[in-house]
Amino acid sequence: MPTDNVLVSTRGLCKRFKTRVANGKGWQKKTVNAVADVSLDIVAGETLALVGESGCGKTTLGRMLSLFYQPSEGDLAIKGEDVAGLKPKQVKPLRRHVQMIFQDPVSSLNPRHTVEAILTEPLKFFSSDNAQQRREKAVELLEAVGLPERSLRKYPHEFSGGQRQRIVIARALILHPAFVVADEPVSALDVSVQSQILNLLKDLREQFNLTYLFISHDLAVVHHLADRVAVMYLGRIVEVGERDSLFQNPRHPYTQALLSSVPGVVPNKGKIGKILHGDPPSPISPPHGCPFHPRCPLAQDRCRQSMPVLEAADSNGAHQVACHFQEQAAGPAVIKEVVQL
Amino acid sequence: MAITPLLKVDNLSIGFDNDDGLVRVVEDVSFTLERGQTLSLVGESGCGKSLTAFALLQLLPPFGKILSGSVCLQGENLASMDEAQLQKIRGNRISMIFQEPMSALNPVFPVGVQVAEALILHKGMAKKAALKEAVGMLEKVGIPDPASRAVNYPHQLSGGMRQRVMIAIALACEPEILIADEPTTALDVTIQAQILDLMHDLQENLGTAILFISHDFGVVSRMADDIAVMYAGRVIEQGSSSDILLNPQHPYTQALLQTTPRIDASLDRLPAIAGRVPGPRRRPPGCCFAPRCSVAVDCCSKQRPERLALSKSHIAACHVLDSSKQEVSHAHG
Repeated sequence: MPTDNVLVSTRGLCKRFKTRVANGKGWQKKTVNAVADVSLDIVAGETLALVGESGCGKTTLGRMLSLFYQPSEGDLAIKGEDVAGLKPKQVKPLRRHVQMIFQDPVSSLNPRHTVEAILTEPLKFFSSDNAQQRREKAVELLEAVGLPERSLRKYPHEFSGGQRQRIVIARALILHPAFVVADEPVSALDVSVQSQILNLLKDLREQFNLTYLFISHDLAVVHHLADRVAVMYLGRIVEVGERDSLFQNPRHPYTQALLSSVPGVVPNKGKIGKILHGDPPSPISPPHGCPFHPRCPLAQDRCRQSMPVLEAADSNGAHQVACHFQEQAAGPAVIKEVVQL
Repeated sequence: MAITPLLKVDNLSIGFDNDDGLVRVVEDVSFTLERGQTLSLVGESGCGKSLTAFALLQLLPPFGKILSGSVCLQGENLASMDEAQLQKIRGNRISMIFQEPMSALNPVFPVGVQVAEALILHKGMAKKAALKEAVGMLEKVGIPDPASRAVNYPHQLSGGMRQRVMIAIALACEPEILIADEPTTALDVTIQAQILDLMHDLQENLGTAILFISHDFGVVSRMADDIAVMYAGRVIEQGSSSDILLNPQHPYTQALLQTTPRIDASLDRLPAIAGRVPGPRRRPPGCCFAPRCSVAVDCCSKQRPERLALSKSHIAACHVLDSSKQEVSHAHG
């Protein structure tokens, strides 16, 4: 893994939430291990995609990296500055470097603010610009996301879903952040609009020298945008690697199952066949050993007893897998099957 | 055709009548559905695909009504039936699965009771027998430990489980037609694969015809025998799954297929369709896709294109297509 120019770095990052669970007699206090032991480096200029099923902790990890949540345990450094354990006041100056694009453009824009108020609000907190300068910057950003200047006086409800997402993107970029966390930015949009927004995110990456953490459950979208991909399962990263390496040569049985569940676009009526059974287990009581073993076709006693750690799966260590049987899983026969499906 | 098709929709038009006057939201939709077959309605949100499905069951919102056309279930026109007759068909001969299983299930009843309700209503079963049968249905749709799940409330089940319960309710009376309105959109890919495979199994065993509504060509390619692509309230192209996916003729279908990101292709930029779908009140006089179309000619903005038969199974409505093709006004596949 490249170590120079690391923008965001985590070591053993954990996030636990306290919750209550009904047990028939009353409420019982429990802990949800939403993110467990995540170590990642995100290099400046790259797009790292975070994929996984709902509830796997990808949004929680994204929110920790965008400074919404304080980690429960572990280290988090942004631009070389340690964030874990800082007081809110000490975190504030870092926030301008990290911004977030949300999934639902309807609920993430204040319906009672004009677009101008929405776009200039971050500048009020983080710059000494006067109203005129703030307005100029807002117009500049509107142009960058492909909206006309007259949008400034409008309210969010006057825009379509795709246009609202453009406003959300403009707001995220107005402070010229280095790192943008995009949490399912296109999943609420129609296909034809989705492609416009994906192209826009690509263009803006060049224009503003952005580094993205792109959170998505849609592997086709991820394939289009990502340089590297990290696969999460039950709060842990089970596989990470360069996009092509991971898509063409998935090592973890979970990644393989995910990839084979994605239907291609060829007329092919019939069963998908090789699919995962059951649901992901609850993060409140994760299974002992490898979190994937209850659904894994390759699981053996060892998987039920000990947790596999991320290990290099290729010679330069760019592709890492957490599986006791990654050699077997990567056998050419399995890959061929996945490709055919 | 000598044999009456299972379901025949003919020139169906649906309008909304509210304070601002009447708008036509779905226009001239025609298709047939045969036993054991899956027809897929594909399109972006607002194209009228769900509304078409609701109209089949006469479940339009209060301000919506069928303006013209007919929906015939084995030759009987559903549009002319009264409420009592329709109740015998809904959930019995034609049933529906909705996109969001959480809002479609009743939160205050155990799921077993909700499956049994259909059996009590339509099959006249006694409550006890119906509940027992309901457990059997839950087992059939792949819910592990169905007896103890049957007494669970919807919130105690996962999204995939809830969708299985929805399918169990829909299939309890062994309907001839199952309408599935984006049944996997709210689910993860691995769970989506489970639900799609389940629908294949059930179709195979019961011979159910499926009207499968989706915006996702990937899912459709797995499910459909035939595909109808809708845009701004009209079917703009329809044909067999391979006609549409491998040999699309309408510029909209072509663009929609190209903009779909794929796992097996690497493009620097996705071809995007500029602009957006016009709302029902803003539809242009000519072809609704003309303002966004890259090959539009003069007459596209003036005149509605007629449906052209490109082959026995393949129909498209576009001025740019070979004008020598035979025109079809009422026929289809």
